[in-house]
Amino acid sequence: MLYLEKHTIITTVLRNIAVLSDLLPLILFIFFARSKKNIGLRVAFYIVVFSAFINLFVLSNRQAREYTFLIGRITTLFEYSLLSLLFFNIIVSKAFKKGMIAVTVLIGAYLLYDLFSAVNNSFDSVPSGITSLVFLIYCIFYLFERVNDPTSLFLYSSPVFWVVVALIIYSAGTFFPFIYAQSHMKEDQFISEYDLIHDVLYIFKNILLACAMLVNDKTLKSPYATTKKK
Amino acid sequence: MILLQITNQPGPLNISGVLFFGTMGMLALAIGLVLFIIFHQRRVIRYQLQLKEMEEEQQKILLNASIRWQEEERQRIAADLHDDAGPLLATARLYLNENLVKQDINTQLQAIYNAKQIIDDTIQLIRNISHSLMPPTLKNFGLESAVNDLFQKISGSGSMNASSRFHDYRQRLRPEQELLVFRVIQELVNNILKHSNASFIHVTQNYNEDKFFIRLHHDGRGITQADVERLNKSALGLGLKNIQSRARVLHAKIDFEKDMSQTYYKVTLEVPVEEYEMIT
Repeated sequence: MLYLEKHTIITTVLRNIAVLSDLLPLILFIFFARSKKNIGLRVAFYIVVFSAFINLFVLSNRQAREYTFLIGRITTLFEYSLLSLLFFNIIVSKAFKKGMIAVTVLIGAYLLYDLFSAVNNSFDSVPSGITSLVFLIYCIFYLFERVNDPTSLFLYSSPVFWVVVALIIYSAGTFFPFIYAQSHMKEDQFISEYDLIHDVLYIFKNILLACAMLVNDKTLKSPYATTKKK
Repeated sequence: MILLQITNQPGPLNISGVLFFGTMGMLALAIGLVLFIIFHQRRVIRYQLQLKEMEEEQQKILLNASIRWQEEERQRIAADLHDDAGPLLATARLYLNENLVKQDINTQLQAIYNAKQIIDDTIQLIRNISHSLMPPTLKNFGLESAVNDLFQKISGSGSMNASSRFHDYRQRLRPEQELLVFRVIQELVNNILKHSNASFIHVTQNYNEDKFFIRLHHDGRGITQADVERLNKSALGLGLKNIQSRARVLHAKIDFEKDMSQTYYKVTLEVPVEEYEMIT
């Protein structure tokens, strides 16, 4: 009993911190970001604004809690659209971009279909899992491109890099909880573990996004190589 | 198999295990990837810095070589003026001193004649110095004539057979480019005369697309690119460093190699030339 009580306290504290952690990148973007026009920062900002709004809306409105899963689906669709746009802008390879368009259209259609057809009292495990996997692939390809580009120096001095790191860690960490959520959401122990993992990663993601907001977007180029456009 | 065993276990424990290990595994992979990228970048940066340092070092060596060459050239001119022109003019002055008016007319005429001879010699000497600084043939008639002129002089000495052939030089390079190319050829020929013990030198010129080529063959003891790189790191090879310095100004590539037949040594100078850079 005591263990469960302690666990609940930890989960509640973590949830509150997670909700408040949205404010960190928001404040930093509004007051301290030096590269407000950077596409990575803008996308991160819109996602955080949306998440903060949803969190506040659900926490403050009892009726809204009945539609948590529907809101979750809308969030997935919104994040997927914005992040696809981000990757479309930061990835250089034209061939990969063509593939991205096809994948975005297909998955976008599936997400819309799922939004309108799925039962609203179940977690969107399949859409969340698919989008997490797609983001992981995009992130890995983006990092692969940067490593292969001899002109990009000091990769970590770019805000986009920190946004991508935040995304890769969040997507990788939440992949399994998302996959299992639909079938185990009614089990108390699963919910507490899900909350624990998700909230920790959510806080971590917001910290990394806050780092991105503080990075000055300097395009440091090597003088020893020419930029290759693929 | 492991997954099957895990899923066969009863109740919520197996899900906890999958969640724990799955999440940890994914996180480890993601963090590992990010760390790999960061360390790789740092290694690349370190490598680029080393490259930059090496280039700066190379620039410094070339600059020093260029300064030393300039100093040597100045010393040579100073020596020519001091040792040759100076005594000649002093002698002429001796002939034309104030006592000359007290001499008889024949002595005066003889002294004036001697002074005139000496002044003529001095003029010739100064002309030679001036020509060595800027060959008039190069200025007036272009690179082809200047190289032919130089090679005729070498051949005329009888010690070596020197010939040149310009295949496509209807359009001249810009004057400053011509001078730099001529100086490179001069320095190469000078090195061959000094060190190679060759019996012939042959220079060919070609123009291909947007590149101007000069190829120099000789049958003496030559050097290859590896020797050039070795000499670049040492204090020796001032002439070679000057050649490279000039090639750099021209944005040209210079290659020292042995001919396919392994009999001759070959030096190729490849100068990129834009259409607008050429004058008719």
